[in-house]
Amino acid sequence: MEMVLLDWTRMGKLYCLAGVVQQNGQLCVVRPLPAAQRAAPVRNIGWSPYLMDGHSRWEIFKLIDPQPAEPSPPHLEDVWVRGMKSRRSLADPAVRRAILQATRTRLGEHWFGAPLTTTRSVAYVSPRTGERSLASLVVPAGAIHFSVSWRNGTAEPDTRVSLAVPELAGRSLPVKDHFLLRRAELASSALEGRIQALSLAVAQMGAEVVVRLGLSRSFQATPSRAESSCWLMADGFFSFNDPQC
Amino acid sequence: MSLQAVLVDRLLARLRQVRDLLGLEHLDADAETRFADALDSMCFVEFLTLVAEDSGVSVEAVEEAAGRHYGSVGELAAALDAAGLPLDQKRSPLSATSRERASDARPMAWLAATAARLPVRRQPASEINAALRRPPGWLEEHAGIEARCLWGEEDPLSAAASAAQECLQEAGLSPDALGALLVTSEAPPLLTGLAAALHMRMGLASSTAALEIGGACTGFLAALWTASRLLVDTAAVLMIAIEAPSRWLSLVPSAAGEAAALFGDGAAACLLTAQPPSRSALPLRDILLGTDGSAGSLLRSEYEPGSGVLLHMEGVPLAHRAVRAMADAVRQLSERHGLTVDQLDAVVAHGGNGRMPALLARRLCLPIERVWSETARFGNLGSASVPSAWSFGDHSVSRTVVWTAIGAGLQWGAALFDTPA
Repeated sequence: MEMVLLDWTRMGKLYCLAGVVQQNGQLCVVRPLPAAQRAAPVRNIGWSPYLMDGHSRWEIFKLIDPQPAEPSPPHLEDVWVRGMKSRRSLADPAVRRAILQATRTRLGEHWFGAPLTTTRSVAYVSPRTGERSLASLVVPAGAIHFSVSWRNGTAEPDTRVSLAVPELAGRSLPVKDHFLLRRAELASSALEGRIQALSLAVAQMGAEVVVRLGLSRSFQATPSRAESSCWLMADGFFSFNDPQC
Repeated sequence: MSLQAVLVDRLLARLRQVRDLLGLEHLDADAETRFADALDSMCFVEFLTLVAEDSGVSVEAVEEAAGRHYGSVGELAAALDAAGLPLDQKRSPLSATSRERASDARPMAWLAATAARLPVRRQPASEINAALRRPPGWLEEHAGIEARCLWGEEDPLSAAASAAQECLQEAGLSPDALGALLVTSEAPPLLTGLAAALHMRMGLASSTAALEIGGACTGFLAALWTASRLLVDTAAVLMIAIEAPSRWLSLVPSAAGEAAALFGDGAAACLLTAQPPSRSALPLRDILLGTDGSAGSLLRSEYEPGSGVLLHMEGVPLAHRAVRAMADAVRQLSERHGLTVDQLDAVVAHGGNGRMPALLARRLCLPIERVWSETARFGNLGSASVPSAWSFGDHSVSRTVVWTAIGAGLQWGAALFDTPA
């Protein structure tokens, strides 16, 4: 099974990946998970930078021995794989556009097949509800605003984005897009500079930007905290008309 | 207790509230507690939003005050103190005690500025009574109206454009920042092309949309509702309510003439923005609109050859219906946000006549001074009545405010603001 790598997000020091495969003539989103960690209590399992650095979004990978995972709504895209082997080629632009188009949210439908719940500033889906954990939203570039702040003592700053769309009404989503974050980090060590770099990157994507939305995985309840929600996050930013990288 | 100690206490209260809201166990936090240890990324943004609301500023303003770096609770208190950002936790009427209530808390938009213009020519009740061949004191007693204003030779469009310019100046915005101009009028000075004419007077760019919004006396709330939704795509929307009933209705001794006597000329403008341009901007929390076309016969206008436009009004049932609808709208909107009516600092009400505000106050069990209206002084200003009453009011005493109106149709509505101190 061949997968076009689409979402490449940061989860601590690991990467969380998602891509698109063709099944029965349809484009389907999958989240490949390393089968070696099948016994983990929660599937917040990532891929090591040693395996992934040097590869790219839109790269085509062969999924080795893919096995559908037990459904865990809203993360129904999970697939266990023994590994991923790069085909050393990228999906051509027409395929990229088709993928972004195929994964677009539909007007009047819940983005994840279940209603979003919101607090003052964030949005989430309750665990064990929903039909998918990834979706593409087309947003005017001018409706995207970044903020970066740092809680001293954490490994990296909190990068957030607010999307001026009615469903979110300016609520703030954590930015997890590895490539966008990397670009900002290279541009400046100052937080203001990173905001400018993020804004510039999005402005260069043209009038319409595809924002890949993802839901985090719920952590199990512990004596000190309730089961967490599946938080809405910004997993990727792409030019809608010219999705080069 | 020093101001900084007060700020620390308030920050700690919000920190505990957020942890509770997002399902974290109780934490014994103090001024030395680091945010990195107390709040994860999701909780922290919720916390910042609450702090911004308490301070009456945007989250961005809090970020700038803190230099985008957050150490301990005490350090943030010092930064807020240095930036002159007090935390007033009474400011937000929506204490975040439940997820459901918190979901409604973010402002839909910000009312950046309001201005009103009334004609110079004042027509006292005595003059109106004489024109209607009614005895002295009749209008004051029957309608609670002391006078009204008439445009006469004045240009209503210039007056309205001047109010609109004042709004832009107060907010420090240029006309180029406007995404749309919304104009509402029950008795327009121009029968066609009103929005375009005002667009030209304002010197707006041709790409700025100019729309006319109906809704009679509720037109301003309808414009507010529309503007709040347009702000998804644009930074600012200007609204103008302009009324010139004296151009259409005649004071002749008849039922229609007596109905006409209730209405005065006037104009008002408001600027709604997606982000607060200043600390005095009012957060708009919610708007509700209602319609019942089956009651349309209570107030209708007709054209009669030789007589012009005649107003037919069934005064008593209309007034009863109006007071009830506005009171219900105020209650419904308040309850939706966890407020009781007596927690409202002011209800800014459309007055079909000068007695209606007192009737509304009685129905809401509020003291009369908490229901704001200018109908007694200037007559029924139609769609301009609510923004005018707000513009002429004393904002220093108001914090949580509902605007409400009812108009021909029947249509009604209410809008909830909570204002900075």
